[in-house]
Amino acid sequence: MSGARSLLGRHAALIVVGLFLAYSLALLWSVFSSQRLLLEATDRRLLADSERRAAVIADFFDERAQDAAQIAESREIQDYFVNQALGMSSRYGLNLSLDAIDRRLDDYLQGKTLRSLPVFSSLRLMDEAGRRVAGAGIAPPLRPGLPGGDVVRLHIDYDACCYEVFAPVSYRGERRGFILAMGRFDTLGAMLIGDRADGEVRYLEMVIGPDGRLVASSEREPTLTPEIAATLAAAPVGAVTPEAKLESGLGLGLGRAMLAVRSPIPGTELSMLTLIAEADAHGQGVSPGFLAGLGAFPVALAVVWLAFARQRQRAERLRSDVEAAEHRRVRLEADNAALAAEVARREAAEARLHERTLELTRSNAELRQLAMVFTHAREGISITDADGTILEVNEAFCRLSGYAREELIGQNPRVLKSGRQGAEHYAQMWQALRERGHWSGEIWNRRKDGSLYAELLTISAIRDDAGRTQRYVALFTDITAQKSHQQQLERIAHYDPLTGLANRSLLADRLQQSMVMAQRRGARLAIVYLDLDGFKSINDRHGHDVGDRFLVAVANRMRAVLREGDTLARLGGDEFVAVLQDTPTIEVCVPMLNRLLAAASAPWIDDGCELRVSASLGVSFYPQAEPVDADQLLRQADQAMYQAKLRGKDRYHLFDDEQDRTLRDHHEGRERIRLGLLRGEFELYYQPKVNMRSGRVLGVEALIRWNHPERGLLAPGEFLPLIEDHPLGVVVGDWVLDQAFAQLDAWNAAGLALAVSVNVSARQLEEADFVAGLRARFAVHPGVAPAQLELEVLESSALDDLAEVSGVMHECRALGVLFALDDFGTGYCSLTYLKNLPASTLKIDRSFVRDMLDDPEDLAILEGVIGLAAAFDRQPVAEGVETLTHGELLLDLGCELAQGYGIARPMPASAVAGWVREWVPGPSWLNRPRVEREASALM
Amino acid sequence: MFRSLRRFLLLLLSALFLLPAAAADLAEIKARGELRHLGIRYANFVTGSGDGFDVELVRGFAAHLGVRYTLVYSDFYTVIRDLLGREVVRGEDGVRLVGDFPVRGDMIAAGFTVLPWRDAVLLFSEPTFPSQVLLVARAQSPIEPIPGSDALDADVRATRALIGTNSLLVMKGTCLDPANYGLEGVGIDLRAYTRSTNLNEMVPALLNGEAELTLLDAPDVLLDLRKWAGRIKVIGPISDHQLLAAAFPREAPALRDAFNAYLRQIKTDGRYDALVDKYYPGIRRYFPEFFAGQAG
Repeated sequence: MSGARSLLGRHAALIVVGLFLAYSLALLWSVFSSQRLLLEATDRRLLADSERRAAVIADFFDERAQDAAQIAESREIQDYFVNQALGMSSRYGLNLSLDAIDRRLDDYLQGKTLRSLPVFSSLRLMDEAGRRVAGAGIAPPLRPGLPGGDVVRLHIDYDACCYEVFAPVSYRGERRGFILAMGRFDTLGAMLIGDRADGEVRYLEMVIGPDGRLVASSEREPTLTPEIAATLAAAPVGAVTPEAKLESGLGLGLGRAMLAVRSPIPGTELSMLTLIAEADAHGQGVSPGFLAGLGAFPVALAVVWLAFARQRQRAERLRSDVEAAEHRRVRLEADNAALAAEVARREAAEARLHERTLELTRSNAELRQLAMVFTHAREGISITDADGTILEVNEAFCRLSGYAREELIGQNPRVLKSGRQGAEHYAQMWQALRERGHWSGEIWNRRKDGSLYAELLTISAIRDDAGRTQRYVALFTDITAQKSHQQQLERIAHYDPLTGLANRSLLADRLQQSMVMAQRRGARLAIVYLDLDGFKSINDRHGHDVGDRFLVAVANRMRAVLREGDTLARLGGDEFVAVLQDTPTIEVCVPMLNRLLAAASAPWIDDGCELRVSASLGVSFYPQAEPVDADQLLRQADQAMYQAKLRGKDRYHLFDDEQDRTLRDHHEGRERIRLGLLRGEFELYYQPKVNMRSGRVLGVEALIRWNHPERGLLAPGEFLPLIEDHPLGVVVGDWVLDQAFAQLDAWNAAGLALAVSVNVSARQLEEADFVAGLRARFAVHPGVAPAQLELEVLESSALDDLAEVSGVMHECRALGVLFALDDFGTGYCSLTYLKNLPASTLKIDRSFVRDMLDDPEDLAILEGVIGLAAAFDRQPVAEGVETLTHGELLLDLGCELAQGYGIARPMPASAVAGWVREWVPGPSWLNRPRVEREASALM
Repeated sequence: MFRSLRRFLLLLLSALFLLPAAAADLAEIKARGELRHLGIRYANFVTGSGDGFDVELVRGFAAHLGVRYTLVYSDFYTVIRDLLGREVVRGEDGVRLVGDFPVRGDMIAAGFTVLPWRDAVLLFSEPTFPSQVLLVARAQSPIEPIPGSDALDADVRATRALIGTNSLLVMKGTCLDPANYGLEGVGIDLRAYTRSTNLNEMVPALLNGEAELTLLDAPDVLLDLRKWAGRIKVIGPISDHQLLAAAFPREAPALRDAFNAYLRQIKTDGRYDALVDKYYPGIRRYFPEFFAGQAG
């Protein structure tokens, strides 16, 4: 055993060396394998990077295609085609559409950039023939053979160094042209990455075509020749190809050995080519020679270790001597170290004392500064204790609150309370202070003099280390002026500056909200459109200043009669709109409408002068059976207001769907009448008036007929009602007078002396220039004597506007023109009016004449009218005489003058002369003896 | 005597400063420290919201004079009365000024057309803007627009012939007054729009069926073709090219001349172009000759 130990002891070094050698060889093999795996992983990463970069370029082209498609659908281009389809000329209208397109394209061009480079150098709208319609940017001339089709396409123009995107432009499903968007290769180059070091390429990206033509490079001045580029285009896809293994065998000439990776760019014919320095990609590899050398190293190390072991034994002996000497040295060093530590401790204490002195000086300076800030700050600052008792306030606080410092110290800030905030506001404030330690917001307070002011207030809690609040610091700024200005701006934006009522903008907003609320609650709204009657004359007579004050007074009165939730707005001029909430029925609405009418028509005194107007109101309701929006409601109310005006003003009118349709029909009917008048489709017929007893023809009544091209000859009753209360009625009436004068001239020239009766409406008589018009006609037709013209006015319409009509009638009488009251007996003419109206003839309504043989009451009325006419020295004329018996009885009652179908139907002017020559009265009429009234046997 | 003379001179001087009803020329305006601009709510010339082409133009003029600027709203029917303090009456024997009314402004600038009858009673500045009156119809109208030619006279005649018996919406007393273009008394069915003096309401009235056609000025057409795209169409021109300008009382030549000098300055330094592009982008393409002549 001891021999074995001795043998082991002698060869221990050799055994250790052998084990070490084996271990080293195993380690070297492991390093070699790891290096190979690392290279493979690097290659895969390079491929993935290349594909990702290719996808970035593909995305870029996709985005350009979307840009072009978006431009093709822009509103300006569609408006252009709409206007073109409407046939608008390029000089008068279409040029404006083209300008809008130019500006739109230019905005797009300027707005789309990539790293400060425009993504498009030009944008053009082309027509189907390839002609430029509009565009922006600088573009090369068009090449022949531009693609068609209905999809967006990308094209690479290698010669022009640009990419082109075509996007079809359609209008109503038809292709009308295309958008041609061009971008330069330079922009693509901006997306590529490159790297150089010491003048040599380390990393280079390129985009190339299928034949290797360079499209873009990360280098501004690419150094590759076309031959090399073609070689690179042939590099296999999905592999990392070392420069030495390229097909042509040509070097790239870049100074370093490079790796090439090629990835197709999806959706194009292009490829992304990446060149990376092999050394950078794979790192410095480990060569076999190096490994062999590394293997020899442990052997040499073992030999050296053996020699070293012998030397170590000798060194052991020397070391023990050295240890003793070292021990003595260490003891001496420890003593020195203790002395040095004491000196350092005393120096540190002095330094700390000096530092604290400096801190104290700085602290004092800060405190003085803070005091100055506190005192001189423009904002009000207060400090309270945890219970809210004021400990200190600054000058600004006193100035803004009006209290002296002494009056505030010891008080609670609630002395400033204004009462405008409720308890909930303060509760929220205290909760925020407790939870977060601060609160900020706006608050209204009251000064010592009682005036209110607005604060922007911030309160912060000062807490000790245990988190207990010690103090509150409040800081505020007076924002009363800003609040006032804000309210003023709000008023200007939403309120009418003259009356303070809501303006059109606020009205639209409130009406919309009211409609939503009505829908939600199942309630009903009334929209009232109000126009003042006669306001213009106030402006004209008294000036705009008085007119403005009058409007304000009317607005205030109307506002006062509305309820709290209702809205009153002024649209402009003398037009107002009211929105009335919760009007479930018309009956609920009517009292409010009457109050509005009363408020508008109340008198207003200005400088001793009483001014008064009336109002016309139009009312529409919401919701309705059909969907309707706010604009339609206002239009309906506006139309109803117009109806109120037509019906005499100073009233309201409810919008009626049915009536609206009727109004439209009436409007179309009036338009047709207007057109008929222009086309000469109207004609006057004439019905003779005769003296039954003597057989004399006194004259004719002019009656209008319409030769309607589709409906034939129309009597007045079929079209005159449409224009009765319409200005067109005056136009037609004027035409009738013109025709009658011309006919009188013609008959006079032919030796036929007749009088012509013309029906006139009260509205026509009320025209300002009616009498002047008559004078002018007599001047134009000097052969017509005034007494040849008789104007027939309905008894009922004469009474409606008696003062006005009576005045005009007297003026006409002064000219010599005669008047007759038509349909007499159907109105309510008092004896006084009959006495004063200058009408020489009373035309008895046909209804009394027609039934007089059968109805004793009608006969009695007839007798009464005839008697009245005799009493007032008026001439009665019976209308509607249809038989000889009618005529006989009328003659017996004392009425000699008559007209009716029993005498003659209305006839054209050309037939009158012949009829006058031929007519003889019935034998029982001619020279019939006059009968005493008592002797007439009736039934 | 000396004291009486001094008192008389003081009264005379006071009267000059306290004469609100008389026209104010440049010196009085500078002494008063305020320029009152009579503006009519019309397209983008005076929008009614406190801005507009003419509002900014005159505001700049007031700043150029070193006086305060005040905008006074008026309308086409009363604006001359508000400027001169007298009402304009047009008759067969010409134009007369009658009455005595308060003067509310010192100058008019509101897309105001230079018309012969206005020129008889006012001093116009150099042109500030071009215009033309066009005939406009609803898109569904059977009337087709004219193709347009190099001869404006022929285009105007062709457009007028298309009116026929169709109703035509007009606004008297403004640039859309039919009397300015020989459209009165020739059998055309004229419908005067009287519910407002705002030209912006002509197209809504046309679309509401109040007439088959309407007259409309080119600046309004520019804005309305965008706002009502596809609902209206321009048939053709009714008038020659017109000029818009600022107007002054005849007693204020110095004020007019100062305005002309200011106008020339802003045309040189680019501020005029900026205003045109801000409020009427696209108008240059319609009136290329006018704007080419304004450059520099």
